[in-house]
Amino acid sequence: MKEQTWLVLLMALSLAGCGGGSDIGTGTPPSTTYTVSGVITPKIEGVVVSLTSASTANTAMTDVNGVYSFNGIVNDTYTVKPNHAGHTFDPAERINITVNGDVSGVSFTANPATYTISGAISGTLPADRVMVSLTGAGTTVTASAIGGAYSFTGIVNGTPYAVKPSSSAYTFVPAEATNIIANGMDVQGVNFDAKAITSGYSISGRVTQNNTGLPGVIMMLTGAANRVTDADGKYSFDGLANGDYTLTPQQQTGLTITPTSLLKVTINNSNILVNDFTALSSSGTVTRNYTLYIKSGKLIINGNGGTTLDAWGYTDVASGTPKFPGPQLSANAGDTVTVTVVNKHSIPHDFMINGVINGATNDITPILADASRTYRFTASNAGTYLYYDTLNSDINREMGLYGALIVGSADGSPQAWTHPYDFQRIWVVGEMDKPRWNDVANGPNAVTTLAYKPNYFLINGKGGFDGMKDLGTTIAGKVGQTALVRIANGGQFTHSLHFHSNHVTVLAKNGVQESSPKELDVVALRPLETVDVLFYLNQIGNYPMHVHTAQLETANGVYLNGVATLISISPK
Amino acid sequence: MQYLNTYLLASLSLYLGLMAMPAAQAATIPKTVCVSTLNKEMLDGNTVTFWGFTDQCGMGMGMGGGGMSAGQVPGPQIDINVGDTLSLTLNMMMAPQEDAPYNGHTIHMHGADVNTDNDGVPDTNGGKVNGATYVWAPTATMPGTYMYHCHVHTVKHLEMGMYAPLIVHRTNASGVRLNQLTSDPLTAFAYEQTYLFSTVDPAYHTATGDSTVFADYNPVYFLINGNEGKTTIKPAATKAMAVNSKVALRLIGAHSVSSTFRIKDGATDTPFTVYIQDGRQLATPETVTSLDISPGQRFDIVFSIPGTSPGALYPQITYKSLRSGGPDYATVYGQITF
Repeated sequence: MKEQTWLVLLMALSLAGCGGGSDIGTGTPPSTTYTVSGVITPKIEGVVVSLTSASTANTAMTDVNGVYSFNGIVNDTYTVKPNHAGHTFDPAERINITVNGDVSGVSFTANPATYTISGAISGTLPADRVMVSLTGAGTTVTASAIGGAYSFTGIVNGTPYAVKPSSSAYTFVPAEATNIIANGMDVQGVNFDAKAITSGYSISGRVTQNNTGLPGVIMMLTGAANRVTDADGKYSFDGLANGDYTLTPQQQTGLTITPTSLLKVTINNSNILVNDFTALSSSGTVTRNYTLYIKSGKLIINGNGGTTLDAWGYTDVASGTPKFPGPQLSANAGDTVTVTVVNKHSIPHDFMINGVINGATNDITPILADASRTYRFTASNAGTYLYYDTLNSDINREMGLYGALIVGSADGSPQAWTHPYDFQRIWVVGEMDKPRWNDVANGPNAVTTLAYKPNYFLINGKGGFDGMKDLGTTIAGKVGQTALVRIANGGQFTHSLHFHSNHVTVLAKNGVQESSPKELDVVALRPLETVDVLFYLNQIGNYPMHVHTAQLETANGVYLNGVATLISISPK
Repeated sequence: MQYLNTYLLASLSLYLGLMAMPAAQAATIPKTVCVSTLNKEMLDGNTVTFWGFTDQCGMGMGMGGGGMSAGQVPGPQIDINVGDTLSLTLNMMMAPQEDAPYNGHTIHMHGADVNTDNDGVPDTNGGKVNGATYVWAPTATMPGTYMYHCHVHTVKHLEMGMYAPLIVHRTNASGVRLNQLTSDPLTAFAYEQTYLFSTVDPAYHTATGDSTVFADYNPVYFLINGNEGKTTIKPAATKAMAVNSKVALRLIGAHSVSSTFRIKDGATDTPFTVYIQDGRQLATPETVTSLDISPGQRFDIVFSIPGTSPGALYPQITYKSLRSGGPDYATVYGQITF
């Protein structure tokens, strides 16, 4: 390519040389010169006009009449081209002007160049269009700002313009932008901030608890639609006429908000600020606060058949690594619980507890990466619940994002409904498909969720021999004792738990007390189900509890692992 | 074959029952089972090697032949009464087995509340396998359906076919067996039949030891009482009963997937009532038209045969993926004619 360019230049040079030789050959006197002239219409003074040949370059400038003239031009072939800021010319240039006498009438028509003025309307934008007007160069035009953006074309260079947005529902800052001049280039960023027009006045304020804004409080004002306090506890009723109003916060479970109501809030030609409302925990009600951080990490399966799995999980330690299952959340029946979920992972997550969290009282939309959300609920009913992540076609849950919420008796005594117990065990079971899900989920490719062939099976995050030994998992005690075993299935498989040599009494399923408890030696839990069983220790000896399903008794095929633990009962 | 077995077992039970009759009281029931290979040709023409229990130890090929009767899949049903003491001996003569560490076999009486020595689990009993005698004396609160199966390297041995029904019957005050599931007269039955559900992944039958094969269960054959009954025309189990009679079915989940059991008369679901689950009477019997059966579960149900003949009911089980929303594998049919 570079060689070709050089070739073209060489040819041009040799052609020019030939021409020169020809001139010399005809004996034309080299001292003879001519004039080249023309006019720019409409007349513009100061347009720079260039006159170039293969060997010379000259410039001239138009006079007040738009006339230019080159003198002393030798016999040759020229190109003439005008140039002036803010203008284009028709034609842009004239070529092959052969000078062998005076040449006049090399003229051009000048057209002013045009540009654009554009900008955006920010703030809470109206659903309908904002009209934006442009005044300048003797005219006014309007455009619609849809989605906040507007643009005007045909802006004349060097001319001052004014831009003004208008809407019946909004005012704008600034109200108008003036003296906008396109100086040889487009003008961008002529922006306005929209403010909703409130006819009348406002009653606004903040609800606090311990000097911190309390979100989610429903505020009721006579004659107005309810408002809900925002993340900072703030609320605002706008567009109110003069008069008397009653302002009442809706009481929340576990809290007392005082004053319970302001009977007479009077508007008299000005806005009212009401910061009087403060919340205290109700007398006798305990609030339990938990924070769960979502993180990427590793799950290690010990022993033969063991492995290290890529996993995602929850930890209650800001700087910690994820735990499998997630940290246990505990409450007594009637307690208020807050769970703040902090997403320290790269993708969106959400948080669900069936039968406890719902969209009517909690924001259950996804929590984006690096965002967090607090869920506030009342642990009304004793029982066992599974908290988990519903997003990403079960991938988030498969990767380890689940754990147990256990709700005990109202007074915290070791009693499951009417049944006293000596100790309790919480078993969170699940499974993981290492090659098809865990090995893929952190990578660039999508998990093929249609295929699910888990090869690791978990009880309390343990899927190896250690599940048989973990003191938090095994049922170990003396004859005559009673254990409450709370089981939650976070997996995608049904788990069929078989208790050797002992029957258990099923007290509750999914947090709902069984009206007719069954005595079983196989307790089957579908995915996301929970079961509370009572285990009476009366058979001295050692017995396994395991899932009675082929591969669930293995770690990647190695027996006896998976969902299995030990029952060990000693004499009184 | 199925019929023959049932007949033989019924005769044997009757014989034992008569033996116990004169005293009309609890008896010790000695039983011995062996383990033997069964090469079974499946409907697709492939042969699968099973290991099954048999109570005809050494009765097969004659003296000097070294042969055993073929194993039965499921193994021979054992029927005892509450108050009886079952003394179940595992005779390891000629038993096929795996290499160490999974050599040997045991008997685990699944659902029986027994002590560690009688539980048949080498992982908890100090590694004891082979030739043990397992004793269980169920009490009056324990009539119902159980099973016995090997508990060595269970992921393979159960799959190999080493499972069999174990039924505990109620008796009257004199110790005579009653054809009634519970004290509720509605549970009196004229017929009873056992339905043992199992599934087969041939890869599990050829793999041995700690193999990754055992991490991935892909069942190919679906059985009731060891038989494939893929259609109502060729059911896996069949029995003739009289119209208007009551029947008790003993349902045993020895399979390794999820399942749903129904009794159909053509397209219509016949309701049935669950009175006993896992060998314990339900405080509130549950009348349903379908029943999910998970691995290891047992149910004792009662229902009525319709009043118009001839006709047929099809107790059937649909085997399903363990994963919720996963596919159904197959439906296997039994048949009751009347």
